[in-house]
Amino acid sequence: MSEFSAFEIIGPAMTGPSSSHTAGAVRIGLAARALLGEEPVDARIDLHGSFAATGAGHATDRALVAGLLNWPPDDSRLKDSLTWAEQQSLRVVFQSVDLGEDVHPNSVRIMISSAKEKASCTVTASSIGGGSIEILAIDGFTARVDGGLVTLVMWHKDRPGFLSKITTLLACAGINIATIRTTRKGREGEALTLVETDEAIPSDCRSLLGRLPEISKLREIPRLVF
Amino acid sequence: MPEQPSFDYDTAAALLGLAQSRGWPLWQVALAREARLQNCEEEPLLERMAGHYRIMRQAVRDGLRIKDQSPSGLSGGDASRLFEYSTSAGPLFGARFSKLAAYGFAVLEHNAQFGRIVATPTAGSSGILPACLLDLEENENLDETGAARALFTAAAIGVVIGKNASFSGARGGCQAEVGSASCMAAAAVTEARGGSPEQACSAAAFALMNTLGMVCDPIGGYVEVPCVSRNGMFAVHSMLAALMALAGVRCVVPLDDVVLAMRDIGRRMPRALKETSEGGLALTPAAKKLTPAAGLIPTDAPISRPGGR
Repeated sequence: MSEFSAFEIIGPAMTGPSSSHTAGAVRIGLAARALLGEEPVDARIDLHGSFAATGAGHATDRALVAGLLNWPPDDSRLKDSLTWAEQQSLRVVFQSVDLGEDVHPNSVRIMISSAKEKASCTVTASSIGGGSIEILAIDGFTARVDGGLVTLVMWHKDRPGFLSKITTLLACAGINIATIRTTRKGREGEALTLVETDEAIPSDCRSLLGRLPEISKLREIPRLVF
Repeated sequence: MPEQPSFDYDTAAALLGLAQSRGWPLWQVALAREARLQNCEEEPLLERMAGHYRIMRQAVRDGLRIKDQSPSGLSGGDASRLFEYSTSAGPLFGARFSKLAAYGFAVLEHNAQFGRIVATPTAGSSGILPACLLDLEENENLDETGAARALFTAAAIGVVIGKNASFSGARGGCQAEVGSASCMAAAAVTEARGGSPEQACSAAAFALMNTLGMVCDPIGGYVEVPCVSRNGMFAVHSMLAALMALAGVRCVVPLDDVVLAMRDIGRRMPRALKETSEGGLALTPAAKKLTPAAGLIPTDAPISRPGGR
């Protein structure tokens, strides 16, 4: 849960018109882009609740795409992001969906893929007000992170001792772990571990982590909320 | 070594306790809390907040210059109209009053035209704090540091709302957006004018109490009608709440209870009146005339939208 920094309440500085439907949507797009880790070429964006009902009036569509293009929430090009996407060969399809009663009305599911190595990722996230967001799920794994810290995301095999290896590597790099969470699809099956840290992961530490045999993919979501 | 206090709190009562036990204003508690949260000194945080204030002031100035209508055609030019009226001979309630309203309008008109603003706490309520603080800068010698401190007062109250209710119009209606902004602004003005922490909380309670039940039913889903005029009007409302508290009028319902009432009302409010544009003003004949075919998804968009509404 958010700690409500003064700069979340008085902030963010953003391009209008809506903090939840525009600035929050940019941040969700940024998170999806970071999770893909590459230039996206295809995006299917499923809009839920108020995102579907009033999203276009608030430029939610353009804001999500601005995030996929890696633009910050106060980028003045936001209103033209769909045209920029087209020029950068990013194909975007929108549709409205019902993600369920319990899902926050400002929610979206993004499926993006890249041309290179055919990477893909599915992210479900909510914009919970004032530009703050919550990532609910990544590739079907429960996530529950808000982008307030750096988030290291690892897709891996569920094996004994895995967590101790990564915490040791992070400790050696002097990285302080704020939270750590593993969700898995059955014992010894596919798993996802999310580590929230106070600082960015140095590249040598990232490459050491990437060499662990259990890890199939490793991504880092930068701090999205200041 | 004794552990450093976190200065964290969940309720207005606890916030008041922290302030009173140290003889601090609310802004100082919020600043100390932020310094612990970010693990840094207070000075750069105040400077960063002053930077936010400069963006707010610029948004007012840019908004006052708007003559054209927004892309939706629902707003534009009224801030400038109000400002002009303030310079006319004998404006109602004096020049300061209509200028204050003009500033609230200005930020929201700028926002509707994809301008740069600071969400306080949301974009739909981003005109209220800038209007109130710019008024104090022009009429009460509030400098940038003073404005930054006042924004920390606002944040101090915002923590209570965020933790116990919501800032989201989709979750709590307009009371959660403009209500929260007005609540925060009333406290900020009260402290900036030398009011005590209790007076600031009373002002906040008055301001929020008078917005309870306010729904979010924007025409066509745009953050314009009623948002633009509402920001101008609630800048005035915030000043009035501060004035009452400074005069010694005490709110008999504590701020914590008003926040809980706001959450309760938000939960019971029908979905149609919470930022879906499926009820209220959004369904009036005027709304249908102003936004042909609802206009919710622009048809000139270059990208296909199967199933889109």
